[in-house]
Amino acid sequence: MTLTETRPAPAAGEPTEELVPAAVLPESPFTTSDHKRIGRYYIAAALLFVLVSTVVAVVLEISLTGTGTSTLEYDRLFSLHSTSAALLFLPLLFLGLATYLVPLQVGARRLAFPRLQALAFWGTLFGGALLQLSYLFGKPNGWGIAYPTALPFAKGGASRATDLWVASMVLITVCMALAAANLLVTVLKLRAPGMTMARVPVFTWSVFAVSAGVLLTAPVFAGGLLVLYLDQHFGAGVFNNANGGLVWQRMLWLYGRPDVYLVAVPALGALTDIVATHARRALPSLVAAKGLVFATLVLAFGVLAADRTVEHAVLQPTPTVLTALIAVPIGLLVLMWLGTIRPSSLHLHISLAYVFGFVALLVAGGVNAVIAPSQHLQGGANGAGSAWTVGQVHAVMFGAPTLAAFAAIYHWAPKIYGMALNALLGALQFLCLLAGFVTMAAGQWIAGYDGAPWHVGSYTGPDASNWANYAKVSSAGGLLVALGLLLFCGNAAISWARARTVPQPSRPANPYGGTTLEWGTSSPPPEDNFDAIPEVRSAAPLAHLAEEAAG
Amino acid sequence: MTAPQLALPSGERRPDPTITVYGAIALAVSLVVLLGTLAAVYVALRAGTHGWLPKALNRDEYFDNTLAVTAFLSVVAGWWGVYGVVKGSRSQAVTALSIVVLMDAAFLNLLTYVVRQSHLSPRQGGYALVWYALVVAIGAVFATGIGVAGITLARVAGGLVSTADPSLAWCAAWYGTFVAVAWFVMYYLVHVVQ
Repeated sequence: MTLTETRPAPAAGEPTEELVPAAVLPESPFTTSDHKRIGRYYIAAALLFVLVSTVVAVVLEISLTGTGTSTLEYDRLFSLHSTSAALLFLPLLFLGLATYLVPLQVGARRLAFPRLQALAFWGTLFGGALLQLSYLFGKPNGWGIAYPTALPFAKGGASRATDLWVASMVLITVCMALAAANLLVTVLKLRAPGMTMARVPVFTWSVFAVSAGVLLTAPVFAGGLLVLYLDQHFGAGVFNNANGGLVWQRMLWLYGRPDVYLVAVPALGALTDIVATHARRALPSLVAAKGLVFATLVLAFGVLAADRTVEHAVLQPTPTVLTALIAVPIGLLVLMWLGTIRPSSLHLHISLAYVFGFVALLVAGGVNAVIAPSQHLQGGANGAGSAWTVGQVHAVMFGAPTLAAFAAIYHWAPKIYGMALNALLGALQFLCLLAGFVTMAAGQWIAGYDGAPWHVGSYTGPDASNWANYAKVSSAGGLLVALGLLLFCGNAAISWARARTVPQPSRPANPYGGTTLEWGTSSPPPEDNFDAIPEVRSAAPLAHLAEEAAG
Repeated sequence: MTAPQLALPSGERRPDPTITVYGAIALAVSLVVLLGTLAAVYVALRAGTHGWLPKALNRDEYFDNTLAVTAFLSVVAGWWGVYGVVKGSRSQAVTALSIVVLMDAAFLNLLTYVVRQSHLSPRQGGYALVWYALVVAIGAVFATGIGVAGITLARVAGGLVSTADPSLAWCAAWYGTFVAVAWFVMYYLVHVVQ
């Protein structure tokens, strides 16, 4: 008995209850019920939005090296950059991976509500387009809407840019909640027989946990946006005073603070699966790994204690502890990965380089955080905030999870694209991304140490020329990141095209000797994923089968 | 077909009818969080605002009470639908669920009338702002209630929900109850607590 066999032609009378139902609506990109197709759409959309966001970021940094931009122009560009990067890149990338992989990992033929995921995707894409359009429609009411203010030019209400920004945020948030609910129900109700929650792979577990987190936080943000829209559109100005402003800040960060870590949770899950697969060894404790992933999610909510000025939190005892505690489960999980790897059995794969990059950026961010409790660093020259925080955000919040996401894409590429991505291009991309993130963050860290303020359109004062030089360093880093992203787009397009010319039997279903269910189906999987829903008898069903076959 | 496939033993099974129920629970949890957020905003803004109630406020208890009675009747009809399904009386179930859809639609119609005759505008301050937000949220909740009841009605009429598998009818009834409770909580907050 072998792990794989020739896929038989469907016989008459075969059970069809679990097969993808006959299409009521004509199959199209808008009505598709194929989770794999929707997953690929999510990944492509995430790359599109991050390219726009990166270009805007580089424009902002380059402008700091010269004459700078006006405050209003800065507000417009910063709104576009920050919201695109925070909501439309990593969340969509991991949502795409989850949409593609979760049904395969739990042994399901489809998502619980297949067309709901298509609706959520197109809604998110439309919301993302509205967000980009908001830039074209003029000036927003306040800096990235984080501090909404009624502007003199917005007579009796909000600018059209603000209306569009809020509408896009509502649409994106609601669609993400729908997609999260879909994934949650899929894990709860569509697991193969024998696939208990204790046996689901760590990535699926992390998606399950983070979906629950999104369901609990996204409605808070949506409610806040609804009130903000009414406030800004009709010009009530309730959020312009101290009390109202604080209420808005709390609604914003009740979603925003955990959201920073909500992208880290699926990243940790994916990396755990990747390390275990390429180490060709089981994790020391699957339960412990899942516990640590879940602890990261729970502690992410503790970061809320940092309140609205989290960059000052390290100066306050209680938020410091709650913010720092999150490093404990992440650190223990990294130790578990190291404990799993044995050089003799390690299968070297490009995705492991990205895992290394993820850990390196986390460590760099952690070391920086240790020396953060300095009023000079926190306040910047103008006392409003320091460029140091911008570096921290780009290294830890953006850089590390980005490398984790690409580790996952390279690892699962045989399933997603039909064949492995080019390793040489992958290595070049890795070098560009890692060097880019380090350079970008280093420029901002050093500028912060030198007293440069954050979120300003131009530098002024006696140190302005020094700060401008640091901005040049960051700009170079941003360009490297953009180059890395373009390399990936080229690599994926080449592999996608080549996969169509290679006959399917010559594409290995399980190139790494993986033990979870997604490696038991063809590459790429057929529309209904499996010929027959498998019965699972252990956390490593393919290894279990191999043992049974051996004797 | 020659694609390599897994050779594990088959665990083929019938579709799980409770998937929709779980989906409705997830939706309800999200809506509870949404309404809880708006209630918290109401309380937080009220605490920091002098002269919370606008002078132009014109509340008509008659319409508010009519809304409450309509929501209550919708709940009763929803449970009647469960009774009809469990007892195998499709006509009773279809009638009951049709009443749920009509009552919820009537609720939305009256709610829009209440908004029009309230003479409030969101620009009149914190109370009016959150009141409008709550009305929009409650409207959205009732709209989803119509959706859940409508889907259930179609499935009952098509014979897909029956005595053997009444889970969707239970789901619709519980969801309808949640929808009504959402209104009662808003009513208590805005009109009793103020």
